[in-house]
Amino acid sequence: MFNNSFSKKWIMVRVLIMGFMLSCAFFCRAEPYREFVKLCSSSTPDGYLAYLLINEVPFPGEHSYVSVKDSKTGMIQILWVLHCRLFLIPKGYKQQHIANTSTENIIDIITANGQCEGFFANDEGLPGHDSRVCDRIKYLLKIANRGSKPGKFAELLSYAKSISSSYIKQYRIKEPDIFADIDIINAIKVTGRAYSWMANKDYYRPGGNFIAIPDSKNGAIAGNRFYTLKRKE
Amino acid sequence: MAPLQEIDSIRLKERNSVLKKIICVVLMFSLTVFFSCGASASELKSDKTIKELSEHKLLCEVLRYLYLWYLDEADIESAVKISKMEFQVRSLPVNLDQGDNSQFGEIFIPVWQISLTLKKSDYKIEESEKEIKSNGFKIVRVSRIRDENRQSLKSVSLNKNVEEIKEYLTKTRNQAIEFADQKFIERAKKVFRAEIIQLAKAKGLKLTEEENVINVSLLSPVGNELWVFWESGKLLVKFSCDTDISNPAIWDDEKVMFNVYDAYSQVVISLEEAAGSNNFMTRGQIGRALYNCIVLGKRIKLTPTPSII
Repeated sequence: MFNNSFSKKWIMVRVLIMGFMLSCAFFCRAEPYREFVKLCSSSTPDGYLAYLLINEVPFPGEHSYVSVKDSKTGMIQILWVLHCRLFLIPKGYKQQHIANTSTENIIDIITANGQCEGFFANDEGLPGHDSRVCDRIKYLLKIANRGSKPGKFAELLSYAKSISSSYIKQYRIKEPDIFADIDIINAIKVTGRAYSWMANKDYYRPGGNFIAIPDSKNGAIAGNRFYTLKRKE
Repeated sequence: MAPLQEIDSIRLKERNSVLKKIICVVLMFSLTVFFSCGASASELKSDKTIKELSEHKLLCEVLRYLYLWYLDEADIESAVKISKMEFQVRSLPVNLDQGDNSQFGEIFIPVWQISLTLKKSDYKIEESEKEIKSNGFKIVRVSRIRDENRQSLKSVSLNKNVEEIKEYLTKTRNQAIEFADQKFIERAKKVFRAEIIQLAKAKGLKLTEEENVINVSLLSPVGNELWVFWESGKLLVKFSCDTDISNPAIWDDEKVMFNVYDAYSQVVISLEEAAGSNNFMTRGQIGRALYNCIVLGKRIKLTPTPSII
């Protein structure tokens, strides 16, 4: 009798242990690794361009962050600045004076001396960037690839990747340039289109013939102030 | 068709026609109510923003922030004789992400033609489940701007008695501007220690006990920046983010982002000397940062000594 009751209890215990282990296995199963976004290497032209666009706009939690849409618009307008420096030099200007280089290659526009902070041509003439640029992007990727579904970080990183790849293939931008039609600022005739951007602090200025596009003409986007040029008749 | 069937058919058509009219009216009414509610919600938010930005304490703290970080002699001289100071306050309509309840506003001070953009953050970073929530409005940007270059939106004009402002500022001179509490300092020290090791490596400096001193600026209730001066490296380090600087969550992050300025080599008299570059500060700006860090700020020794490079 003792053996029967003991056996029954032992069977119950084993069943309970099995049930407990199965429950643990179910609830504690390892999350499969998910990579919602992966960037191209910065040693490729589209990867390098994407690095610049990501570097220049705020992400959630960062100073000057407004919204995903604002940061995306910032990326597009920065791309437009680079494109304008490449192919849309206004009458009376030379590319050298605006972009500090003469080229038809977007990477040269980015790495031109003193132009895009944190991006440069190294001693071998190859495109390079500061370690801080890389550190931040690694950090953003880490956040972007967390969780059970892609969020705003993945959306912004993917957007940068997508518009960079698209631009490098065709050297065209399908989104419109919102500064294309500006022709006068503070009674000064301007060329329209933006040819420079800087951190949106009014003590920074590009100098020369650059004219800040004011708030009334939406000149501040994604923590940056955009600048057009004085028109030369 | 038999007469009775004709009558039924006519009645059916009339009934359908009436039903359609009723549905149209109900739809129009619903749309009207829906859009009215939407408009009311944004108006309420705008009113709330203006009310908070109009508070006497906030306006005084904004002035104190400008006094410490921004104004120069010419500004003070232009305002020293006025008895009333005008503030133009308004809410800024901004398209935010879904679920983001942040508020944006602007304070414009006509006597100096200074515009301040302020933000009260209130959203969540889902990936890290971090709440980005400010305990009040924080200054995001300060700029000198001509009135015609501002967005054309309605403002509320407030005229504040200068003597009352001065009384508040004097009374709260020692208490209103806070230092972060000890817990925050400990967390910040850990981050700075790691950062300074990297900076020292980059500059080829050897760290010793004596060279481990930083000077940390005050925290303003309306500011969202922390400046640190590292004495031996002569480096100014600025940290800013989208929530309260003293929020421990941001200091627990694996990577806290800084801007670094070399107070020795990245200084010019005028930014016209370095047009096109974000890399420089003027001597005036450096002076203000150093004053806030060294004279008004807190001197902290980082111990234990980081590893010798």
